[in-house]
Amino acid sequence: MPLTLPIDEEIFQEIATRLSGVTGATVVQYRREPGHWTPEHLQICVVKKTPERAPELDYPGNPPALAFRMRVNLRLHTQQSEVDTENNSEIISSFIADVHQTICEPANWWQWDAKAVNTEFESVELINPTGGFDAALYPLTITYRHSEGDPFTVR
Amino acid sequence: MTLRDMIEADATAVFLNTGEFAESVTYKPRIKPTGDTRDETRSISAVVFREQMTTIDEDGGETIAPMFLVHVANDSTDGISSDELDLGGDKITFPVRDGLTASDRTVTRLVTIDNGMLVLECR
Repeated sequence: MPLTLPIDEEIFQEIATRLSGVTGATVVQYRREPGHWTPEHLQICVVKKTPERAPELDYPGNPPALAFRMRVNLRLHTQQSEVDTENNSEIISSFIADVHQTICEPANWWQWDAKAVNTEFESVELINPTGGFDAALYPLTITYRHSEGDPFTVR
Repeated sequence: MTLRDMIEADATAVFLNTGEFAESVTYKPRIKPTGDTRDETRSISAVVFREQMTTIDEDGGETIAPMFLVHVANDSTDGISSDELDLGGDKITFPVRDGLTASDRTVTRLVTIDNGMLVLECR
């Protein structure tokens, strides 16, 4: 059955919805609109990158199924008060672990409600802060297929 | 009155005069542990320089976000005193453009400081 939105967008929305279950965190779907977001403590900024073709995973047929890999960057922000004596490394590590656990919570978590073939976690990159807030980049790579002429139908 | 006193007085009376260059904004200190009496939201005068689009260094430079430079008095009543400022979550509320509804902006950096004024970077 065709989806309401193209598959890549449906998966992206599904990721944001699932991440809203991370305790104490806020989720922002990144847009260029000025003033849309401001850095917060325990904030997850979800950024969709351009899907790329994965022809080795195509299915033959009429019509054939085209495979794609889409990277979604999770930018995890923490902003510790100057009077807070808690270990900063502990805060960011726990936050990363909470995000990971929440993503993996449902059965068949990697399929994003039967829309994807697979999901892989990439390496976490801790970004050196220059002031204001700390950040960790946690990329996901999602593989999905759709019919050749119909980006709304999962294959 | 010394020159220093006059410059400090001018920071509030002239530069931060809402009838001249400044506007009214709201300072929201981050909620701190119980018993900290500084946790009070208050209206202050500020000169806000808006819409300087820059990348966020902490995000590897891929994220674009507006940056605001907010000039306020270094004062715990009419502005923000340097000893109460918390760069770990204090916010200032103002419209991102003239005519828009005010929204919270996080203070991310103390750009310059002297006895009269603070210049704060907000995102």
